[in-house]
Amino acid sequence: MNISKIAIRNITRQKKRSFLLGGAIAFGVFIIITIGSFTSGMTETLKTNFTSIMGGHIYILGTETLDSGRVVQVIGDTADLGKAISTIDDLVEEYHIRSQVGMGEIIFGSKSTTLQISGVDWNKEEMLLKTLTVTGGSLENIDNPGMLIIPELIADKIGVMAGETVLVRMDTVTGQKNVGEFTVAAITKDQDNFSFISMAYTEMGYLNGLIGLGPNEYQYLNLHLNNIEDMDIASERLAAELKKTSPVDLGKDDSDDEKEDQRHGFMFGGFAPGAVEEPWEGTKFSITTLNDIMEPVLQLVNILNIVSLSLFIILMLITMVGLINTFRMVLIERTKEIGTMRAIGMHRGSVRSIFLLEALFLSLFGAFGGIILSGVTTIAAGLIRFTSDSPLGLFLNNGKLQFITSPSGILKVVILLSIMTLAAVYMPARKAARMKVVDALRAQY
Amino acid sequence: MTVISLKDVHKKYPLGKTEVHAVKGVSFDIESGDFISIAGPSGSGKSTILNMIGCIDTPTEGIVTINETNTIDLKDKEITNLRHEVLGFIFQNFNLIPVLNVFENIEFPMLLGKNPLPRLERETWIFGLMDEVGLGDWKTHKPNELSGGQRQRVAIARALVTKPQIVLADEPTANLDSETGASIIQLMKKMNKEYGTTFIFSTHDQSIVEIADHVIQLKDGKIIENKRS
Ligand SMILES: Nc1ncnc2c1ncn2[C@@H]1O[C@H](COP(=O)(O)OP(=O)(O)O)[C@@H](O)[C@H]1O
Ligand SMILES: [Mg+2]
Repeated sequence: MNISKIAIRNITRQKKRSFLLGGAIAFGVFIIITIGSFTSGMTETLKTNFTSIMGGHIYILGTETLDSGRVVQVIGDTADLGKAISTIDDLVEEYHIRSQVGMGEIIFGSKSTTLQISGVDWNKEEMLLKTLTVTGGSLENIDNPGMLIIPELIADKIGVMAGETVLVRMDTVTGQKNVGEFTVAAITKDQDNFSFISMAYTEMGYLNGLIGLGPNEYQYLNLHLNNIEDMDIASERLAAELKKTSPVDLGKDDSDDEKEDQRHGFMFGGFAPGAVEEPWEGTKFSITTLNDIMEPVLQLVNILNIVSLSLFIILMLITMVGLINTFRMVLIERTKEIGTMRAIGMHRGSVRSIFLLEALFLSLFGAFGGIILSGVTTIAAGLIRFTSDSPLGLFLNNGKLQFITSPSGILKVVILLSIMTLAAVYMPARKAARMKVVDALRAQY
Repeated sequence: MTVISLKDVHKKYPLGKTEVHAVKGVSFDIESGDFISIAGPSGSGKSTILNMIGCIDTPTEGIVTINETNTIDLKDKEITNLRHEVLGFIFQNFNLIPVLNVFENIEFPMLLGKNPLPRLERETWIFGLMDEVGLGDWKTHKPNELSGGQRQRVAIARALVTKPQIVLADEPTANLDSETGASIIQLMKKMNKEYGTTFIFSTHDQSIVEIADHVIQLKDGKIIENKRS
């Protein structure tokens, strides 16, 4: 107790020196914690955004080969899939079946813009309905064929109001051009997360007719799990089950470029029909998970984290050199004092402890400053609202950047810093403890 | 009762290629409760002898015993404990801990021990000591806010706080004017009478030697007079 009191007071003896060292440590801690908070916030945001736009965590896409040899996106034989899915029923919260128009063009009068349309089965889309905030029209008759829900951004661009009729130009699954007529049932607030991708929704049966699918066919089946942690287990179990009856591609063990392209195309709705591949019987399923999609992001996040950790370690190494020099100086400045304390009956270990504690407290004060600074910065940056068409769109949560600061991350930084500090000061501390009392007392200072 | 005994003690300091023979075969005994002065001109070996008695330096030859223990055989831990339990130190330059206030400086040695007194008893004892050395009103002052005489009074209280058998004071008045110096010696004498603590102080000032019960006169590392009244 007495020793820590002396250690803490010693820090205040050379205020400027302590302030500079503490400041350097604070800066390093600030950098690493802020970057860490940003990357984990970004990862979380991306996961949420992808889950929302994709309608779940596991995405099953069906492809079939037509007699002509052309490959189309469709899940025709739903019986096998249904059976396979029923085996992971316990893990799934909601099933969403969807058809999709990747690059459509919505036309109203003389104005037009591009959009994506998801054909959905409104009876199975409770989650989606919850996220839609109506600003015009209503969701009452959306079950009716040809009723379209569009985001505000699109409505504003082409100047359409609820109840008015629009035309949509699109490609069928076989790559032909087609045009459909829709009635704008509702205009919804730009979806919180994904305003930059303009997703419109319509009843699936009508859309299927326009893109050349049967009324009971669909292209994707997306599973929203009860627990996001089950993603890999669920997809593995599902794949194993499906493999019994049908060919299956797994998102993760796709390594050749062509399939890579296909997956990315799938992600953004731009599937290229007619890819050269051996024809197969029935429906081939490809199973992709949120984790697969997140993989490049996670890799990027990893790199960022490694870079910031390296930066932190380099900054701290430089600081530690300063710390070592400071404590060498301290050793000289306080030789007589150490001699006095030893003469009075202080043991070597306590002299060493004073040095080590003094350095440790200095580092911890610095770290505390860095943590506070990082907290203030991330809170302030998290308050900034970006416009909905900001290039940061994908990284925004309700138009804001999200920061997640984990206590365990802070703890790791503090522990690493403490170890470095103790290692740096160990030699001067040992030297202080080993001084001969009589020599120390004879010293000038 | 003999508390300290030096038998044919020599101390040589290496100095370049030669050596300085600072203490040349010194022997004497010190009785418990005495007020002893080690006197002699500068360079006569006073500090060297006090350091050896204080177990912060070791003789090159000869034996130093404290309470019949040969101090040369002790390990650093045991020596530190001995210094803490049996000895008190007063220095020429006061040597207070700058970051601690008056009360804390005096308390400091008590907290170094394994079983310090409970807080209340400790405070009562320290406040009593502070009153006795005349610093009752200076509890929270830092050393750099005190005069030299006051600092040495703090040092006296600090040396006595653990109730040591022996207090060693190496030229405690050398940095004080003669009047203040005399009052410091008087204070030490008072404490010697009150607590029965053995005081050994060194001085090159012959005028304050008289107050001692036992005077050891040194010259060139040898005793030229050893007189116990
Ligand atoms: N550490 C040392 N190294 C070399 N010589 C020393 C050392 N300490 C003391 N001496 C020498 O020993 C002699 C006695 O010194 P000291 O005990 O300090 O005398 P005093 O305290 O009586 O002035 C002096 O000649 C001094 O120069
Ligand atoms: Mg001397």
